[in-house]
Amino acid sequence: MTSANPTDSGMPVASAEELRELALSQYQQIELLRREVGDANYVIDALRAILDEDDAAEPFTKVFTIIAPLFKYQHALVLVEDDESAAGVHCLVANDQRLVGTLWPRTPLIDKALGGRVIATVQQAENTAACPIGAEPGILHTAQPVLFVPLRFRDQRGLMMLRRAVEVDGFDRRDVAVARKLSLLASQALATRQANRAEQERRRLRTLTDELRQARDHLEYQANHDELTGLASRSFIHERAEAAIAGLAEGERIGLAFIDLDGFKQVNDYYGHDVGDELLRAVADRLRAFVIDDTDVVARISGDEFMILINPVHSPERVMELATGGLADMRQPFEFGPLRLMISASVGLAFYPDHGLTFAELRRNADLAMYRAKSDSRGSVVVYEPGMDADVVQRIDQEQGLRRAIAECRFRAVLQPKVHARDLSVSGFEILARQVDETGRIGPSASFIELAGQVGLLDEITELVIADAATQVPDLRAAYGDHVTFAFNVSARQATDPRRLTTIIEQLRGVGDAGSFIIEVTEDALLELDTYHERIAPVLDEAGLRVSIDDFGTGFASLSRLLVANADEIKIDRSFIDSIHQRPRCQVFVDAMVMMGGEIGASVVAEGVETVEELRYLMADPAIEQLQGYLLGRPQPAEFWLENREAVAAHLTELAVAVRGEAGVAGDVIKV
Amino acid sequence: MAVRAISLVANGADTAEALADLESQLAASDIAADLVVAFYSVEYDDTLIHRFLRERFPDAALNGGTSSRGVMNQQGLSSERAIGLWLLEDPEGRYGSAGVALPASDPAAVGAAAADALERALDVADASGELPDLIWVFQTCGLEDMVLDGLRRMVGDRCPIVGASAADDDESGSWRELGPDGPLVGGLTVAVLFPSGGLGVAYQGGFEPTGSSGTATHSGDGIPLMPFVPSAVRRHISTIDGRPAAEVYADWVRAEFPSSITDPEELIARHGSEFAFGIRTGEAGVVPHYRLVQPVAVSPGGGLVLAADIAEGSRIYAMRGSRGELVRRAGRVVSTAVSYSRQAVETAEIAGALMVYCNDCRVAVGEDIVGTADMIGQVLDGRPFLSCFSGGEQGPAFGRNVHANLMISAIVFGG
Repeated sequence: MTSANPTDSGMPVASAEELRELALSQYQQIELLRREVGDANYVIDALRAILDEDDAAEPFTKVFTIIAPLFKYQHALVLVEDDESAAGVHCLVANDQRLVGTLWPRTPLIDKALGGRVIATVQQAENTAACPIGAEPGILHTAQPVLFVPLRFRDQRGLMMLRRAVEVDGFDRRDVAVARKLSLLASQALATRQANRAEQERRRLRTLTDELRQARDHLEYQANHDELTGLASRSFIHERAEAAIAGLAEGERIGLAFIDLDGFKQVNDYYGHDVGDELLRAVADRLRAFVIDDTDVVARISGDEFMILINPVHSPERVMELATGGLADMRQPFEFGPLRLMISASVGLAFYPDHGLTFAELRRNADLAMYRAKSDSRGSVVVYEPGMDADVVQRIDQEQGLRRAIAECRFRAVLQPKVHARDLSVSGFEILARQVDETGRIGPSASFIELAGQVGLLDEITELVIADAATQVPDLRAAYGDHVTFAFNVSARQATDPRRLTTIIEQLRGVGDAGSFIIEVTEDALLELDTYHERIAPVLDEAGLRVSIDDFGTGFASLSRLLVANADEIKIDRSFIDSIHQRPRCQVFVDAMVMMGGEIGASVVAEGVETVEELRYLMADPAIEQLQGYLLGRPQPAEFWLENREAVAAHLTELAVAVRGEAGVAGDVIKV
Repeated sequence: MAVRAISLVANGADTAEALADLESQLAASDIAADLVVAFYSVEYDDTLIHRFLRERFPDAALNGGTSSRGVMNQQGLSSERAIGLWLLEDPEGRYGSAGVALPASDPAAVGAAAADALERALDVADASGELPDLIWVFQTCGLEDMVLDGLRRMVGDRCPIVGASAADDDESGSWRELGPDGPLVGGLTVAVLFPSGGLGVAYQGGFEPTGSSGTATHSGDGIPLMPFVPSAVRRHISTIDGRPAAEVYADWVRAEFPSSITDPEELIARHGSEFAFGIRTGEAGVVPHYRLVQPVAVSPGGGLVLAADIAEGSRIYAMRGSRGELVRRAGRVVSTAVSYSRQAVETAEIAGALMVYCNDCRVAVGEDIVGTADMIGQVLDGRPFLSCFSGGEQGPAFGRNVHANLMISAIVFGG
C-alpha cells in the first residue's frame, strides 16, 4: 500500500488473472494485519495482568479470562515443575478448580514444552494429550486438542496448557505463532513479578509494554489506512459504510462516490513512480477537502482509485453539485517544483437505499457509474442507473474479444496509397490496422483502436501489424520502386514513450532500410514538448526515421512546437479538404498550413481526397506535394496492390488526365 | 545458526554418470543437509540414486521422485535427463520423512496409509503428536484426494500441505516416488517440516474464467477408467446442466478456440493444457478464486474423467490460460511466498525455494519455460531454487488443503 505501483514485485499487471491474484494477496495481507492487531491486544492485556502491582493474587485467573476469546479453549491450566528429577509436574492454577493441585506425568510433549517448545497437537487415535494422575474422571479427555505454552518462573520451569473441546478444530499455526509471543513475554513478566517487582526490570517491562502498545497502534493504523496517502483503507471504508447502513433510520440516505483518475498511468509511465506517488498524495489532499461531515470517509482503494462515503446525504443534488465542483478543482494544475501536471477524474455515484442495500451493491453500482463516466466523457460525474450493468458487460466482452484476437494474432496490415500531386504516381503507402474476425474476414474499419487505447493493448496490436506489413514491404518496393515510403501510425502515448518507440523502431529496422519508414503521430504527441524534444526526437533522429504530423490542424500544436518537433511532413486533416473547392474559409486555412509547412521545411500532404473537384483544386496548388484519399485508393491488403499494380497505375493516369480537363472520368469510377 | 540451501542439477547419459556429476558438485559444498529432496528423470535407476543419497546424507529427511523431462533451478532449465537436488541445512529445525506404498486396490485404505506415513515422519522428526509448520508430499498420480483426506484427518487445514504428483515423460504411468527407505511405485512420501527460519507458501493457478459455467448434475459412479487409477471414484462427471459433460466441454472449448473439431477427446488432446475447469475455493473481497481441474478422457456415455475431484452439485467454470500469464505466474507465486515468509519471521533472510510447476503448464508455455526459470531466479535474486514438473499439485487454497491441476506452488524458506 505504500506505492502507486500495482504490485510490490515490480512486475507490471497485465491481465484480469493477475489482478485477481493481486486482490487476493492484498486481501490476505489486510486480514493478516487485522488479526495481528487483535492478537497483540490480547497479549498486551495478559502482560498487564501479570505485571499488575496492586494485585497480590496469582495473575493467571485473569490471564485465562483475557485470552479465552483468542484461543477458544475449554480448559486452561498452568503446570510447574518442582525439580527436574520429579516424576511429574503439578497444576498450579486452572480454570476448573477441580484440576488445581493435580499431578501430571512427564509425557514427551510435556517435557518438550518444559524445554521451551510451543506445541500444537495433531489428531491421533491415541492422543498425546495426557491427563493427570488420579483426577476426577470426566473432566478431561485424551482426545482434546492441546496447545502447550512454555513459561519460566525464574528458577522453575512450567507451562500453560490450553485444551479445546474434543469436537472443536485443533490449534493451528497462527495459534502457535501467538503462543510463542505470549510464552516469551509472559515468562519475562513472571520473572519480574517474582523478583519482588524489582524496579529496574519492571521499568524495562513497562517500556516493553509501551513499545508493544505503540506497535499495536501502528498496526491498527496500517490496517485502517493507506500508507501512501494517509487516507482510509478499503477495509476501513467498507466497515464504516456497513456500520452506517446498519444505523440508518427510514428515509435517511448515504452515498458512495467511486473516483478514478484519468491519465494517471501515463503520469506514472512518463515521470516515474515517485512523481506518481507525489501526485496521489496531492490528489488525496484535494479529496479531503470534499468531506463535509465528520462521518464522511475518504479512502484510497487501489492504485489510482478512491472512494468517498458521504454520510449522511442531505440531498443527492447537493452531492452532485459538490462532486462537480470537486472535479473542477481536480482539473487545476498540480505543481511539483518545475513540473506542472494536469489530470482529471471520473466519478460514479450511488445512493443508499435507491441504488443498493448493502455496501457491496453500492460499491459495484458506483463503480459501474464511474465506468460509464470514463467511457462517455472523461472527467465527468455520473449517478448510477439500472441497466448500466449490461453496457459494462458488453464492453468487457469487447475487451475480451480484442484480447483473444491479439492472442490469436488476428490483426492484418492494410495499405492506402499516397500519390505525388504532380502526376498522381504512387509515392508511398500508409499502413493501417484491421482486425480479422474468427472466420478470417477482415473487419471494416479500425473501430477497435479507441478501446485498445483505453485498455492498453495498442502496443501488442502495433507489433502484430508491423510484423504483418514487414512480410510485404520487399515485394511492394519491387513493384512500386525503392522510392516508396511506408508510414505507420503510432498513438500519442506510444510516441512519447521512448521505451515503446524504441521497440517499434527495432521492429522496423528488422524490415530493412529505416529511411523509407515514416512515423505518423498526431499533434497530441507534441503537447509534452519537453519530453518530445529531450527524449523522443533524438531516438527518431538516430534511427533515421521520418516524422509526419497526422490530422494536422485539428490538434493544438503551435508553430513553435512544430519547429521543435522538426517534422518532415504534415498531413492536412480531411475536414479541411472536404469540398475545399467550395469553401473559401477552408482554402484560407489550407493556404496557411501549406505556408507553415514551407516555413519548417516539411512536405505537405492533403488527406481525404474523395472527389475529382477536390483533386482538381489541390493539384492546382504547387506547394501541396502529395495527396491521399479514397478517390486515389482505398485501404487494401498488400496482395491487392501487388496483383493490380498496372490497373492502379492506369486508373491514376486516367484520373490525372481527367483533372487536367481532358476526356472525363467520373470520380466514383475509381475503386482502387 | 542460519538456514542454508543449495540446489544442484546433475546430468549424465546413465544414472552412474549423473551420480558422478552430482558427487563432484557435492564435493565443492560443505552443506550438512537436514532435508533432501530429489527430482529426477524417469529413465534413471532410483535404487542407485537412493543408495547414493542415503550414504551421503544418512540422517536427512529424504524424499522426492520422478519429474517430467528435467527440472529447473537457478541455473535455468535442465536437460531432459537430469537429477535435481534440493538440500536444506537447518540444525535448529526439525525434519522427518516416511514413505508408503499406497494400497491402490483398496481405495478406502489409502487415507489410513497416508496418515500412518505422517505419523512415522513425525516420529523421525522427534515430533510425535506435534503439528508441523508444513507437510510436504510427493505421490503417485490418481489417489491424491484420498491421500489428502487421510492427512487432513490428522491435521485438518491447520497447517499447509504442499506437494506434487510424480510425472513421467509420456504419461505412460511409469512415474515413481522416492522415500527415505527406497524407491516406490504407486507410493507416497510425506515429509514434516519444522524450519527454524520460518517459511512462506503460495499455491496459485494462472487461468482466467471465460464466462461459461454449469453445474455438475451427475457425477456418475466410480468406474475403472485409467490403468493407473483403480477407480475413478470421485473423479468423474457424467453431466453438466443435464447434458453429457463431454459435449458441454467441447462447446466451451470451441467457443474459445474456434475449430471444426467436434470430438471432445481430440479437443482434450489439443487444448487440455490451456483449457480446464475451475471450482471456486473462496472470495477475496468480491473477487472469486478457483482451483483448476483438468479433464483427461471421455468416458463411455459422454462423461468426463478428471485429474482431480469435482463433487456432484459443484458449479463448474470454464477456465483458460495463456502462455504469457503462465510465465509471469511462476515469478508471482515465488514473490507471494517470499512475502508470506517475511511476515512469518520478520527478520528472515530468504534461504531459497522449493517449487512445483505443473507439467501441463510447461507444455502450454512451450519454449518460454526458459523465461519462466529466469523470472523465478530474478524474484529470488539469485538464491537457490528447485522445481519439478509435476502431474498434479497440492496446496492450500483459502485455508483449505486441496489437490488440483495446472497449478504452481512455492515454499520459500527463511534463512
